[in-house]
Amino acid sequence: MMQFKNQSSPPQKVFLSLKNVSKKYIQRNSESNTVLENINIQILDGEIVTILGKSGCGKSTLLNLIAGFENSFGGEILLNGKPVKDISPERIMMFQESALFPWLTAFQNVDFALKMAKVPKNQREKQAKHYLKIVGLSDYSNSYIHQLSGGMKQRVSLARALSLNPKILLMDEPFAALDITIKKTLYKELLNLHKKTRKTILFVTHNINEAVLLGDRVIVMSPRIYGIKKEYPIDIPKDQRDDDLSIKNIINQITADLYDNA
Amino acid sequence: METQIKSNSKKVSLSNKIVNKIINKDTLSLVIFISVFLAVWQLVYMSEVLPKLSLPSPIAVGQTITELVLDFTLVKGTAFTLWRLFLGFLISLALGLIIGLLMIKFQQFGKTMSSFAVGLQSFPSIAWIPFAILLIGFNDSGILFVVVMSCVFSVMLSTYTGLRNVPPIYIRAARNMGAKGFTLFRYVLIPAATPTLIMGMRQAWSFAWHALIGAEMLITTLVGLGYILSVGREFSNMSQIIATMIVIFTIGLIFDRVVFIKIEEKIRDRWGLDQQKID
Ligand SMILES: Nc1ncnc2c1ncn2[C@@H]1O[C@H](COP(=O)(O)OP(=O)(O)OP(=O)(O)O)[C@@H](O)[C@H]1O
Ligand SMILES: [Mg+2]
Repeated sequence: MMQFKNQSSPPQKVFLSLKNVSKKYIQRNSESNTVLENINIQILDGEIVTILGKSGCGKSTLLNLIAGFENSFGGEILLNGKPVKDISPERIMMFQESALFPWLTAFQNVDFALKMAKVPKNQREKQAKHYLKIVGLSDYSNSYIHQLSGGMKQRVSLARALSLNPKILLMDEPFAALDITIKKTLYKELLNLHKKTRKTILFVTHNINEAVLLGDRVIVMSPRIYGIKKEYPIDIPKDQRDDDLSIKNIINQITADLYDNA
Repeated sequence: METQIKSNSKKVSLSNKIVNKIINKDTLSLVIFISVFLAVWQLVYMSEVLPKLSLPSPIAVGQTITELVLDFTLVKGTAFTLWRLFLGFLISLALGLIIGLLMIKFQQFGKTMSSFAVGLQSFPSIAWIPFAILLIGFNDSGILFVVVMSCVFSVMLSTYTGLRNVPPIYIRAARNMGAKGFTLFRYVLIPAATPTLIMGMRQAWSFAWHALIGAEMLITTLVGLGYILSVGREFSNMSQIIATMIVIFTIGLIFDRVVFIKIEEKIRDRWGLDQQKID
């Protein structure tokens, strides 16, 4: 459908840029708890960047800042050169836990998003069906959320996110709770969708294989330095990563990075 | 030939369905329960443990019900009582929702008001009656006042807690999609709070019902089921008292079972809330 733009030339423009971003939470006893300090990230248009880090190192916090959920932070976040302020549908978050509305069916959840995006009423049904089809859930459009499996829920979330046609998709461990076979199908689907839409994706995970399989680049965060420890560009084509030897090397390096506490 | 058989079997299965629907397990056990109850009543009556004047037979009460229906006493009484109930409930609903929303809007007011409302919610409705009589008088408005005071706080509190306890992630997701202001309220906050709201309304309904009968007995207005009860007491007419009690019981049962349970079941089903049920 017309929502997908096929861009033939490889994109190079810096799309999202974080400059010296810092975040502290003020605790009850008015001590401050530093979570992020001087984070610098540049993300190119159409890139998939995966962020890897142990639990509690501030991955969700980082996505929340980019999404605009938290307005008090240090440094600058620029999207297309403009500072990010407040929440906006151009930066859509797919949450760690399901944020689908349980009082609506799968179809109605997507339809709601389209309504919010001000898609005219007579086109909404067709588009909602289209997005559910993309994620392979046409047969479940009339199911309520609790009637879906964990994997199906995440697919509906993905359909809902895509239907808003965001400029960047922020994915916070979307597949963490799923078993490995479902994960593998969803990886394929995500990569296929990315090939078609060339959407910029920031994907947070604590699963090394997932990060290496999906990312054009892997960013490793460490709680000890409140920020980025290392970046790994991964130049192997995504459909050959499953059984590539140098991938195994990268995985070993990242594992060592994650578990050594320097 | 064949088509005839087919249509015949269709008819049979259709009538079977209807019969099944009427005689399902719940109805059957209800019928058995009522029959046993009537039988015990009859036995107690025949054993003459209690004087016949204090405990009339089921048949005598049945006759009284018929008489009271035929001379329109019960019909008129029920109509007036239901009218007051609806009116009082609707007023409480509107007031409760509006104040509940203001409590959300103005946080400090909400905090203070909610502690007051918790106290007033459990305030015995009958204790409002002297106040209502002196403030308003022996009239319909006095009765309505008691009804409203006894159930408005349930509506108010369920609106307040329902909206306050909407999981923040729904609000975040909705705002992320571009929802704000009235849209956020109407399409996210209200539906998300609906299970709590319905529970509050059901409670309010039963509080209103309790308060109404009490108020009708004590604030005499010459019509209503409560008034028929108090007349029964004055003339020591036990048949009339029991007959009226049966009507009151039936009305309460019908509304709770048919109206509120149905709505609640539908919502619980849709949300999948029954899946956490512990057997
Ligand atoms: N709203 C908040 N108020 C105070 N502290 C917070 C808040 N949100 C997060 N934190 C703190 O910030 C740190 C990072 O939390 P965050 O949720 O970003 O971690 P994470 O990397 O996403 O972890 P996980 O992999 O478990 O999801 C934690 O130490 C947490 O206690
Ligand atoms: Mg997280």
